[in-house]
Parts: sequence; structure tokens; C-alpha cells
Amino acid sequence: MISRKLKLLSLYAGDFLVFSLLMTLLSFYVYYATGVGFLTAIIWFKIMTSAVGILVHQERKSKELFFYMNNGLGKKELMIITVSVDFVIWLFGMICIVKSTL
Amino acid sequence: MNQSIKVDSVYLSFGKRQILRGINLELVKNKVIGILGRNGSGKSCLLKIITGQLQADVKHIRYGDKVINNLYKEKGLINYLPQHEFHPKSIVLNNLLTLYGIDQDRFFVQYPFLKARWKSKFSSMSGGDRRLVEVLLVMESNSAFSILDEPFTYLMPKFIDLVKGRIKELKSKKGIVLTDHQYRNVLDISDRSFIISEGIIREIKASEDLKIYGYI
Repeated sequence: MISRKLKLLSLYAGDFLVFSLLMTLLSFYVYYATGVGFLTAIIWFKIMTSAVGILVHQERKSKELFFYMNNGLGKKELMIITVSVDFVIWLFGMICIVKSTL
Repeated sequence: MNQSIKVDSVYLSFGKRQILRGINLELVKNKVIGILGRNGSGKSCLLKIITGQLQADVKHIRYGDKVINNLYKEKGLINYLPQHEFHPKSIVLNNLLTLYGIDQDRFFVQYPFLKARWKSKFSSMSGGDRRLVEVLLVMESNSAFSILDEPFTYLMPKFIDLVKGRIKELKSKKGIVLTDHQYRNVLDISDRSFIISEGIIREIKASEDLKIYGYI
């Protein structure tokens, strides 16, 4: 059951998470190169790129929505999990980088 | 629990145009309900309202004694075949069967002509084959009700007969609602048929009714 849900989630979120991971790595690099002075800008960069990414992703996947719903995953559930995974990866990475540079 | 979904007083309008005016419908297990109607009469809108994908001006939906706004929230209650293609193109047929919880051996015994395609990507199939697979997946998966929007469209006659036969068999396990412009096929397999005309739903008692309501 869990592996089935994970498969569905990876199928739904895969493209978006690849894009958001690139944006996450870019924000890590900018922080690493510029330091804490750009932290606010980096946070906004991540929020904006994730927001645009998720909107585009939602549009691209809109026709497939019934496939996920027929298999027990609603629109809200898909979105919340996708955004949460993206945010947790970014937050964890940022904490590690900030700690390593202190 | 009463094994039916009762849809009462569905009203829908787009601006000043009233599409549905007080639709009442009961989806019953072990029955096939056919819905006909002219283009733009609101058939698909009604199905989308039932599945919770379209907001009606007014609607009351109950499953047994329970009032439910979104039938999808009730696990295993409904699944839906939309008019358009809705599966990810990159997915392989046997993975689709796994995700839908359909036993592969049983599926390929039932539909042996699809066995050669079990490793095929969805995108590599022809339009008709893709539609057939979508119809079969929705019908064969484990849900109390299946709602099928134009299941015969894009299918060749042989596959239409196959789907009709399977619907007749599967109604022993579930309730089925379908709409399609191939009205003879719909009337053939429906236990009760309705027509939506001028926003109102009426039961079809005789094929002359289709003429009376301007459908044929």
C-alpha cells in the first residue's frame, strides 16, 4: 500500500522535484559563494521558483488528475506532499550549509 | 447500508445560462444507468458534479445515510473515466495494472490480446488501444461505482462489443453510470436510461422519447 502510494507520488512529483532540486542546489551555491548577506534573497528565490514551478507543474498534470484520484490520491494531498518534500530537502540542506559555514 | 448514491436537486448555471435545473438521480449497485443528451446538455457537467470536480450552484449527494460532498473521499466508492486521455504517457501497462490493484494474470486471461503489450509504454499504443486500456482499467479496478464518460468513443466495433459485454458482467459487482453519443449501445446495456433536455432529466421509456426530446 505504501509502496503503491510512493510510486504514484514519484510519478506525479518527479518532474517538479528535478526542477526544484536544481533550484535548491543553485540557492546552496549562491549561499556558499556569497554568505549570510544574501540569505533573504535566497529564501525569496527559492519561494518564487517553487511557486512558479508548482503552478506550471499543476497545469501540465491537470489532465492526469483523475488517474491519481482513481487510485486514492486527491489534488490537495498530491500538492501538499510535493511541496513539503521540496521544502524539507531545501531546509535540511540550508541548515547543513549554514552550520558548516559558521 | 443502502448501496446507492442519491444525487438530488442539482442546479448548475454558467452566468445567466442554466445548464442543470434540479437533477435527481440514483446510482444503484448492480445496475447500469445510461445518460443521454444533446451536445452541451450538461451530461459531463453532471458527472463532474457527482465526482466533486465541478462546483454546482446547489447539490445534495448521499451515500446510504451519509451526506457526502466529495465521493472520492470515501475510499473505494467511485472511480471515473473522463472524456479525455488521463494516464501518464511514460507509464508501462503492467505498472498501470499494479497501481490500480488489478491482478495481472486475471487481466490477461480476460483480455489476452493485450498480453503482448504488457511491457509497452502507454504512449506507444494507438489512440484506440489507449482508450480501450483506460476504459478497462476503470471498469476492472475495485470500486463500488464506476462513472464512464464516453467509454465507446474512439473504439472499434469489436472493442465496443467487448466493453459492453464486460459492463454487463461487472454490474454484478458494482454500479455503473455511463454517457455516450452511441445511444444504441447505451440503451442496449442500461437497466435504466435517462435523457437530459433543457436542464431537466427524464427517464427514457421508449426510443420515441429520443425524438420527442430532439436527440435523434
